[in-house]
Amino acid sequence: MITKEYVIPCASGLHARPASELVQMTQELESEVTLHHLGNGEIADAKSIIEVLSLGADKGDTIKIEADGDDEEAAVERIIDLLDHVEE
Amino acid sequence: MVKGIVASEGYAVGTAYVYAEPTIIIDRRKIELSETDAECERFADAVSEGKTQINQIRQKAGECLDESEANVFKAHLSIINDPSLRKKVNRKIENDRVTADNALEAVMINLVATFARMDNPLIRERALDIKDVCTRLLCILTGTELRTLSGLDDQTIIVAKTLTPSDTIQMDYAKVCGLVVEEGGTTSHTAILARTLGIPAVVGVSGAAEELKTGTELFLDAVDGTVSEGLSGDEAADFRKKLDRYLQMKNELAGYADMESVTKDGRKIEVCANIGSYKDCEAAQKYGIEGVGLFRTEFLYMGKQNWPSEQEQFEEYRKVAELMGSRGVIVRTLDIGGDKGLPYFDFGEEDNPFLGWRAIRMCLDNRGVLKTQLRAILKASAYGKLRIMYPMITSIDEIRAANNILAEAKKELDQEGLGYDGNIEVGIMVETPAAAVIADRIIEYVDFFSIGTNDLTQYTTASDRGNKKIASLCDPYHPAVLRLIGNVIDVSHAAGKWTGMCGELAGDPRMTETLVGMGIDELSMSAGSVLKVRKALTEIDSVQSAEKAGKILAMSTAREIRDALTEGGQDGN
Repeated sequence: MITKEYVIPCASGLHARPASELVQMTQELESEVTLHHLGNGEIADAKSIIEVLSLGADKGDTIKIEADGDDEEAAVERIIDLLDHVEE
Repeated sequence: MVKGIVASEGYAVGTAYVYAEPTIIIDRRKIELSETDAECERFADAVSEGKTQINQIRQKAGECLDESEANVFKAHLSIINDPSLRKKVNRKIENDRVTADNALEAVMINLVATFARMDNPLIRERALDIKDVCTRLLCILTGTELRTLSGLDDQTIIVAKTLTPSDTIQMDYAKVCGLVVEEGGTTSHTAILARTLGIPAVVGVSGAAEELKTGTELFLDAVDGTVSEGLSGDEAADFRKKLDRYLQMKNELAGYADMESVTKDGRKIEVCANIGSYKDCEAAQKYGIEGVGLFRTEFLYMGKQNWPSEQEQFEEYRKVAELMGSRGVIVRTLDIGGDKGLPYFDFGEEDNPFLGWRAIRMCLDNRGVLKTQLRAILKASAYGKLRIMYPMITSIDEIRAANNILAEAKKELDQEGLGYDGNIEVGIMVETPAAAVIADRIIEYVDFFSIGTNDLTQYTTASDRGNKKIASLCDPYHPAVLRLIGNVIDVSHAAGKWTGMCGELAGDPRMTETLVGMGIDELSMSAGSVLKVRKALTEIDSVQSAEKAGKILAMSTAREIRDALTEGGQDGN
């Protein structure tokens, strides 16, 4: 299992398009991916749009990305890459 | 008989199809422990069936989806695939010993309530998607028929509480001869769609979905705004006569699609369409439009979760530019605020939104929003003949400020080596009395005027156009409105420039002769009015019409003017 802390760069937070694109991507991953909101303590399964939206992660919030599975390293990389570059 | 507001004129006789939320009967019995696995499995089966259904609708909608429509499907698929939804339902089945439908209903109510309470409006909107998906699953689980707008019978009149873009994507237009909707005004999604497609429609019909029953014969009078059930004898015969006349006229008008818009004495007036999207522009081609006099870009911004990107806007503008080729397209920059908000932007509470922070006012305070749009329009201008138009202008300062942003956008594109039409014309929408009165000063700063008569009437007569109690005051036939229009046209011509009109008055064939007499150069309207106006145009003489316009402008009241324009036997149909 690997973890990485990450600050949300998207202006609209982890809502709307960034959230749906994230979920679409993570659903293809082998690993279990969990997002921990380090501010409010909420936890979300990154493959669940409902949970990701409920996480309440806004721009500037720090989340911990936790991946567990065969492709865990690639998983974390791909998630960060997506959130860095997602077009809002 | 029920009554409403006419959103798209015409008559229709057809079979009612009430499109409403289904009545789902949930099995609320307690189940045995031994049954829980079977219930979980039943839920899993419903999910795969639901996925198949959503994919089928998506396929049927084919490539003609615009982005906001495609996003509806994406959102629905991501919810139905949601592992957390499955977990929650399974847990409920096991812990509470209830059926799959009972469990799903409880989970749905909970989720919808949670989402509806969220601070972020973008997320609040997702509650609707969750409800849609769960309703589909509940129908599958309980064997309830889910009403859809695909697979309709011929000559259907759709009766609904409301129609959203996600409803109308699957609608089989060819089978629909009328629309009756409880919600919405004449500028709602349904109303605009109906006018574009030329389907008679009445909106704002309270209680229609309850009162009218699927399968009954309806007589839709979208001239008087009434819907009647089961007319018989003389009444039915009378109605059919009106319907025949309407269909005959529609047929006769069809011949005007290929004609040029010229008066008897050869004066050419451009007859153009108002559009809100590329799709509208495509639909308007069948009327032989000579241009687009108003491209309402706000629809690119509405029904979204965030500001549309430059690329997304560029694609839409480019497609319209290419389709229209050498025919002009006036792109109005974002006109939002007033009665139209955005889910992702807070306009704040205003006591008088129509007199508030809207259109160019809001854009000049959010330069980035306007610049993104101007860049997209400029880039698309390389593919056709686009013009830029600023809405809600009251002063020269606003034009200067907007043009500064335009100059910046041009400079950026130059630096980036991107092409655009260097001679792109810039105009303003004349819709405030302030702009109409100082039009002689403003004209030095613009290439053209386009008169927006809806707002110009509302502001000139100081009457809210959405307020039914004063609807009779908000009358574009008011002599004050007509005199302002006359002034705007005159000063533009004195400066060697031109004036068009894109409000509802432009699509009123009773007014065509007067407007031509006043010297209007272009008329832009709902696509559905193009043929009527072109017909009216071909029947007038521009010299005679100037004389008549002089008489109309000398009149004292709206009633006098209306009487004078209707007595000629034109009944406005």
